[in-house]
Amino acid sequence: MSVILSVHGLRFAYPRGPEALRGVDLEIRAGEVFAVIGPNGAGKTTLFRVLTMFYRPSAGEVEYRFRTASDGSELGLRRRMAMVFQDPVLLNASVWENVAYGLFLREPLPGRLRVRLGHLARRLRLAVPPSKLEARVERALEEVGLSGFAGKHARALSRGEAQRVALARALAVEPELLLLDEPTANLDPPNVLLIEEVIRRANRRGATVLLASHNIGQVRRLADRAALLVEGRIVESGPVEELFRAPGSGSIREFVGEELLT
Amino acid sequence: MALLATVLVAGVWAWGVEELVMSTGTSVYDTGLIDQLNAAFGERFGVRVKVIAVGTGAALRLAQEGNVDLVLVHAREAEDEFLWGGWGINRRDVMYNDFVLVGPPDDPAGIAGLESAAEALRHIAAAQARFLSRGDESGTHRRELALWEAAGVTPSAPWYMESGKGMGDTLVQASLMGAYTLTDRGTFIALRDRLELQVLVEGPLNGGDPLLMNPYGVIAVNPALYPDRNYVLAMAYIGFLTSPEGQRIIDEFQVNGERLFVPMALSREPRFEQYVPQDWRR
Amino acid sequence: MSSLVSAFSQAFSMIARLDPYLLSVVGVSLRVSGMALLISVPISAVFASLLGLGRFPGRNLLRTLVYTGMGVPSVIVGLVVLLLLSRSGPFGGLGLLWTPTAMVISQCVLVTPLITGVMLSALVAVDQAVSEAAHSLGASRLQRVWTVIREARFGFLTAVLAGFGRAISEVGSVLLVGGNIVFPGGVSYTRTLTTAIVVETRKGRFEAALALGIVLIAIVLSLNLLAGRLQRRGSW
Repeated sequence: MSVILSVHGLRFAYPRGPEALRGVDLEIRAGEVFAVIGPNGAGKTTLFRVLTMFYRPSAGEVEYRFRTASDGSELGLRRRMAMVFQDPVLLNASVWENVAYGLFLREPLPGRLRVRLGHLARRLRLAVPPSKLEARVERALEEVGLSGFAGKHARALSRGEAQRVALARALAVEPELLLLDEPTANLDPPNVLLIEEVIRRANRRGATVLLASHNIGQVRRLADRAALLVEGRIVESGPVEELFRAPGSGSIREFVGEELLT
Repeated sequence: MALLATVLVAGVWAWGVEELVMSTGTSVYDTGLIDQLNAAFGERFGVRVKVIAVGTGAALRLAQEGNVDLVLVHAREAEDEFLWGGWGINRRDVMYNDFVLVGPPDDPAGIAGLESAAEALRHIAAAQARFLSRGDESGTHRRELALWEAAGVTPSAPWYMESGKGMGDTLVQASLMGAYTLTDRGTFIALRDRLELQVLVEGPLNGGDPLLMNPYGVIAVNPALYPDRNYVLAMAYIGFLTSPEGQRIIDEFQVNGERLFVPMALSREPRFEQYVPQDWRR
Repeated sequence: MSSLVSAFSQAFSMIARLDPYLLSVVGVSLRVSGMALLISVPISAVFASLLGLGRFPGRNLLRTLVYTGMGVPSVIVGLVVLLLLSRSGPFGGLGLLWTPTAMVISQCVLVTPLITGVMLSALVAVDQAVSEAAHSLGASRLQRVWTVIREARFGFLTAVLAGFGRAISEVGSVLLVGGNIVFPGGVSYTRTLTTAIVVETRKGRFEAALALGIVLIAIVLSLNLLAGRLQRRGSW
């Protein structure tokens, strides 16, 4: 299996803060679901922020090897990824606008105008076939089970619905690498199961998934391999089943145990 | 669109007709006299007149800075300073009206019917009755200060107050406060119906104190200082104002059936003192 | 009380018979304030975006200056513009004093800090997470900025309304640099609703002044109602 993302000696410190990442090495393979587990404050979110290039690492490097052609620019690489945050961050607009957001970012001006004109035309009750972009938005909404929600305002959604919209927004751009930072934290079980199913299907269609999670059950259900991040260092990694069946260090046992207790 | 419209409109005003800019005290403006004079002048010369109606002090200051073509004001000392400074030339007497002392009908200082304005002010000071001054360096304000000096009294708080406003505003405020104030007769008559104030000391127009005489002068801005100003038109305006036609308009002008201004430009006798500062020999 | 009633009836009758003086005064007010807004809104948007989203030394000082500028009295602005445009001032040669253009200039100076400040607050209030979300979904630097600005659009609308409200209701600066000029026959050149109110008050015609005030408030009110509808329509 080819490697899609390799991380070497990654270090990062917040300004005037302690070092949050102290030399992280990782290899993510194309097509797998890779989980990063670890206690609060271990550096998972920081790691994701560096991987999405929101932060620049203070040392080390990240190598992206996406299959689909890109010009190799930072923006080109970033556009092969999409991320979902622990707290759904939706734009102050309709569900449709939110899901279409990532697609609009990638669409040149003529395409954007065509979509807007199509909207206008349909408002005037003209029969205009949906554009490719609109079809993708519709598919993404179907994917997360929110087909009829396009016209709703984002503020009118429940937390679970909002997180599903955020997921649909990430899926709509058909990313090669999907980064999910605790996507089901604080959600009710039906929403958790639904979102896990969506992740599974996206992975089956070819998306590589990088999942930060607190939830050992979820990691077992979804991930192929996992790594334990503690205080900015990977202390253990390997296939999920091995990792949990025969933990090589006390850290996993400690973490799993702590997790089961809480 | 709006930009285009603005530019067009401004353009029409700016280039369509020649225009004259004058600054005046508020009294000739608020009574409506200036509108009548300007309408007649505009028709005759095909000119638009822009009037900046402010206090006499501000009117002269604006002229000093070259922002108007001529001034029509009523404060001889300030006009003389303006002439001495070389900012203005060709002063002419235009007309006069008079000041009157007005106050609340119950007249707490008991000044009604007094012959002398200075004595009336002494009564007001003695009674510590409220007096509202313009306090704005206008012609009326300057005259009021001169009267206090003639009365030999220094007005003081709390009974003496300054409004810092034009004559109309000050009258309205004095009426609301039940205060005495010095006003030109024209503005007072124009507003009389809305005021709880009465004329208590008369000016020369009704045979009263000659110290209350209020002459108006017109002065062109010196074109040697501001060659861009419309000096030719300013002189045409001065000519019109002091012509039989202009003087007739002033003579016939009435508010509420009362004549407010007495023309004084036409005279068989030479009156050289109108052209130069009163102390030009100093 | 009776003068209030009479002011209202006077206001309605002026509007109903399309009083030419009223129309020309309203026209000057709208033209001048509209033009001032047309100029200052884009400038303010750029300033606010730079100050709100940019990172450069001196930014906080500039922000403080903007917030201070929001409270500068209009008379002061008028006075400064008057001295600048005065014949003996640095820009006297342009001959702009006593023109609507001078009024537009002073209103621009007056409302730009206000509009910038309100826009700035709206931008700063947008969750940092929005910017990160945009980044994580593949937004370029410019698209990210644009996304944050879009999120602040209701605040921007509020800023424009506040600017218009201040521009059309200020007296001090337009009185000074416009000169409150009206031509014979009651055709306004630089007389706005507010300076017309000053004149009527000076003449003691309180009802007429109030009637003009009612018209002024009606204009601002209808604009705000319109904007309120726009906001409630939601998805734009």
